[in-house]
Amino acid sequence: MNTSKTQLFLVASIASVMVLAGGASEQAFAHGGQVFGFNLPNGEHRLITVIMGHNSEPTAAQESGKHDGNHPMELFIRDTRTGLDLAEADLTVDKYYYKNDKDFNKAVDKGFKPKVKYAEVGAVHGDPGHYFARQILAEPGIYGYHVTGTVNYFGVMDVPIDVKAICRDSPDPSAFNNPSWFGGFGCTPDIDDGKFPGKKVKHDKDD
Amino acid sequence: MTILKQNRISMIAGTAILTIALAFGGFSFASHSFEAGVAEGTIPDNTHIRLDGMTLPAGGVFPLYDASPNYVSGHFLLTSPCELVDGETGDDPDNDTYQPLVTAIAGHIDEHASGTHMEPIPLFYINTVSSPKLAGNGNQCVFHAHIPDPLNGGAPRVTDIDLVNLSGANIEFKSGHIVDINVQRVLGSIADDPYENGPVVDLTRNVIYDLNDDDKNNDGLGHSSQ
Repeated sequence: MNTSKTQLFLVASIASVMVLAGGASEQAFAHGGQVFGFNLPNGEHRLITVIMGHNSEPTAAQESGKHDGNHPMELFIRDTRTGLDLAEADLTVDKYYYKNDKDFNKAVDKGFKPKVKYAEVGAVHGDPGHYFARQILAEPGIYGYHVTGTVNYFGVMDVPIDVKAICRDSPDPSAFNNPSWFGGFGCTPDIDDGKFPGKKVKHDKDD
Repeated sequence: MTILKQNRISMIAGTAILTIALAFGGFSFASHSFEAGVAEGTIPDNTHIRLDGMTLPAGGVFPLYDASPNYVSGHFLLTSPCELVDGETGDDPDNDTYQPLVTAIAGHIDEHASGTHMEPIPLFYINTVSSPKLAGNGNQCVFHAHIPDPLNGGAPRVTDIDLVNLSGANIEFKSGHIVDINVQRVLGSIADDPYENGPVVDLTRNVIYDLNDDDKNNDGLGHSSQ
């Protein structure tokens, strides 16, 4: 059989194999991200996706007897094409905080200054590609992060990473975020904001 | 016992050990940082397929594995009749590199042609347990691959694995010819990350890498010496 006939037969055979594609999808969660492109030593182009947000969304600030405020800044880092986790990285994070919209707007005019610089970003044990900057969110407000460093691409090379974003309910996230940032993560309300009913309800006497 | 018999026993034993190691090990051949392995407390999914007794006609396709809609990561092991890669002389079993007569392809086969994407799997030839070294013939070569291989090519998202015969003649599989597929992780759903603008069906022979010969140009990327 000549090559073209062989190929035709193969295409027809493969096309005849029926595959049922299901609709499984991952649960949505409030995170955003950036994609970084680079070239391997052999010249082939590759992409890395970095997803950033708070662990255990939605967040709430610490309040004694009500909530511990334990919401690490978390990253999920993957090879974009394959979905394989990237388990080695050398990263730090600068942390930003604004109490309210007024403070944020002041920073837009005067420049954003981090509250904490070069905080450690560490790998989560037993969960490749998942990274934490551990923290207690002490106050309600507007939180932002600037992650820099390198991600090791499967032992072949280190790829520079620069991810910068602020929570999406701030007055103007685009003033802070890197231009290629997509999606978003939530700001941190007071734990009592979500109470329902929020005020004491007046019941009928016969209740 | 003749030397030929001793070689045959060595070959069979070597292949058996290799298969068991692949099925239950996961890090048998080299250190690859893209292999996370299975999560603690879970067991990898293993599919062992005997090919002996099958004749695959020219142009024939033999589907091996279908995990749709999930695309997965794992290992692929093939023992197959083999022939020298173009340019090899065949005079040094320690340095010659062989390719399987049959071609292994992987990717996603979709009911919609536009969503179909299949490419040859980049294969690593393991000469230490292959018949050119053990018995002086091309009856049974051992090949190994990583599914997917982000560094050395092939389809990035794999739901389907097939054998195809691109040789132009029948391929007869005999005793000891097998495929072993060890799936360690589900990486996502092809419904969320579909192939588009297809069909892409690359019907070329497998690219063969060889870490054990003197040629360093066919080592591929990302492999340590262990």
